Amino acid sequence: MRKFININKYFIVKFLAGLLAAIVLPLFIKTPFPLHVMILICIWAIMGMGWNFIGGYAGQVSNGHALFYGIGAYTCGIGVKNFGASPWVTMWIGVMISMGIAFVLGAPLLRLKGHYFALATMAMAECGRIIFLNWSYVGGATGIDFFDRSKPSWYTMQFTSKYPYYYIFLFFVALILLLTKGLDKSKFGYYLRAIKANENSAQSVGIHTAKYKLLAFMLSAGIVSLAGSLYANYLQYIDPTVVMPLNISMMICLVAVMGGIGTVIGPLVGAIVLTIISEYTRATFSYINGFDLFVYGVLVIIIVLYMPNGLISLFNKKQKNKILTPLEMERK
Amino acid sequence: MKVILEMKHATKKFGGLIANEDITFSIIEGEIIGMVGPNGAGKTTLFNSISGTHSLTSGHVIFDGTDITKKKPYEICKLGIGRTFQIPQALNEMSVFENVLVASLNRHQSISAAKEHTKKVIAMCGLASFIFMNAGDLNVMQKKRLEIARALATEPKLLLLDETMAGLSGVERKEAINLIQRIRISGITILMIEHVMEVVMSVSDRVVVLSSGKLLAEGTPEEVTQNQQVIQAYLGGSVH
Repeated sequence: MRKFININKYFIVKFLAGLLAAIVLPLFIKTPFPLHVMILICIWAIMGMGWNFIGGYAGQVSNGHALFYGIGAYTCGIGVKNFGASPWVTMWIGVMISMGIAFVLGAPLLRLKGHYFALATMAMAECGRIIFLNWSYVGGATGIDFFDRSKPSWYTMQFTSKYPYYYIFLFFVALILLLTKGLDKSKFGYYLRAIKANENSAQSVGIHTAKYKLLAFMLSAGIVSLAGSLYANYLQYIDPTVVMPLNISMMICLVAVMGGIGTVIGPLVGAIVLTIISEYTRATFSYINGFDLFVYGVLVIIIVLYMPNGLISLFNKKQKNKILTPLEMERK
Repeated sequence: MKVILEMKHATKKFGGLIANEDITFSIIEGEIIGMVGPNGAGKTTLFNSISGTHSLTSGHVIFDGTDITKKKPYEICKLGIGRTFQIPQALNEMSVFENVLVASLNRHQSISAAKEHTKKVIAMCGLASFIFMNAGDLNVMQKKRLEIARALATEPKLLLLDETMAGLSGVERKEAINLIQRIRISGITILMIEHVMEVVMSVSDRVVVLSSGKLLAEGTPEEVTQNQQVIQAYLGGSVH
C-alpha cells in the first residue's frame, strides 16, 4: 500500500495526536457554545477539504458548491420526513445525486476557464436555490422541519446532546483528511496540480484534462454534499435560504483559500480560524448590530494581506528555508 | 525502413490566412529531421497540427499506421509523440522533479515506478542539480532542458523539438547537440525545428524547408543548402 499511497510515519503521528486532542477536548467543555463552535468547525473543514479538490488542487475556482451542500441537506431531510429513511443511508444517496449532477453540469461548465467558470458555477447554485425555493415537494420557501422523535436517535441521527454530533462529524473530518492525504501525492493529485499549473502543457504530457477536472469536480461535490447532510441533521430544519445561499459558496472558498489551497491540512486550519473568529465576534459584539461582521472582515483582510499563501504558510516557513539533502528529499 | 510519420497534403487555414498548404513528407524510424524556414513559414503550426493542439483544415497525419488527424493532444501523447514548446510551458509552481514525474506517469501507473523513471530521464538531460528548484525559477537554458525532459519522460517514439537551441551559448549548444545524439541512440525518432544552421547541418539526416506555408525543399543538408529556391527564400532573390 505504501507504494501507492504515500503516507509517511511523520504524518500518521501528527494525525493521531491531532485526533486524540480533538477527541479529548470536549470532555473539558461544560458549556454548549464552544461545542457548537467545534461542530461548525467540523462542517466547514469537510466543505473546505471538498472544495479544495476542484478549487485548490485543480485550480478551477467554483463559486457554486452551495448547490451540492443543499442537495446533501435536502436528501437527508426528505428521507427522514417522507420515507422515514435513516440519514446514515440517505447521506450516501445525497452524495450520489450530487456527483451525478456534478457530472452532468461539470461536463459543459469545466470547458470554461478562470472567471467564466467562477461566474457560471455561481449561476448554477443560484438556479438550484430558486428551483428549491419554488418546488412544493421539498417544502418551497417554508422548508422542511424533520424533527422526529418516533425512532431511536441513532437511527435518525437526532440527539438531544451535542456530543454525539461532534464525534460523528469528527469521524468524517478524519476520514476526508486521510482521503486528501492519500490523494495528495498520488497520480490523481499530481495530475490535478499539473492542470492547475498549465492545462496545455498537461495535455501535451498525456493528461486527459477534461476527465480529471470532471473527476475532481465530482469528488468535491460528493464531499460537500456529505457536509450538507450532516449539518441538516444537526439543525433538523432546512430551507433554501439556510442551506443554499450564495454566501455559503463564498465561505467554502474562503475557508480553503485562507487556510491554504492545494494543501492537505490548509482547509482544516482555515475552518478552525475562520469559524472561531466568526462565532466569537458574533457572541462578543452582539450588542452592536453588525459590528461582528466588521471585525470579521477586518481580520480576514489582515490574514489575506500578510499570508497570501494561506495560514498554512505559518507552519511551512521553517521547512521552506531548510536545505534538504537529496536523501532526505527522496524520503519525503 | 519503416515510415513512422506521414504528412499527407496537410493544409491549415486560420480564417483567410493559409499557414500550411499541401505539405507532404514522411519520416522514417530512427531519423533526425531538421525543419527550417524563415519566420512565419508555418513550422510551429505544423507541429501543433501533428501534436493535436489544433486539427488540420484538410489532409491527414498518419503516425505509426494510425490516422491521428483528429485526435486530442493527450491521445497523441499516449500513442507516442512527445513535444516541446517554443516558449517553455513548464508547470511553474511545481519542482523540476515533479514536472518530469507528471510526464512519467503517462506510461507508469504507480508513483514509485514513475519516480524511478523520472530519475533516469533527469540524469540523461543533465538536470540532476536542479530537481528541487521550482520550474519557474529556472533560466532559459534549464527551461528548454526541462521541456525536453518532460517530452522524453512520456516515452515517445517520435519527439518534436521546437527551437530548443534558440538563445543558447556555444557551450550550451554543444551540450544540447550531445543530448540529441543520446536521445537518438536510445531509439527515438526526432523532428526538430531549428534556426541555428550549425546544429541543423551537424545532426540532421534530412532537412525539410518550409517557406510561406509551403514545402520548399526536402533532402540531405548538402542538397538543401545548394538548392537555389532555398537560398532565395533565406537571402532574397534579385529584384526584377
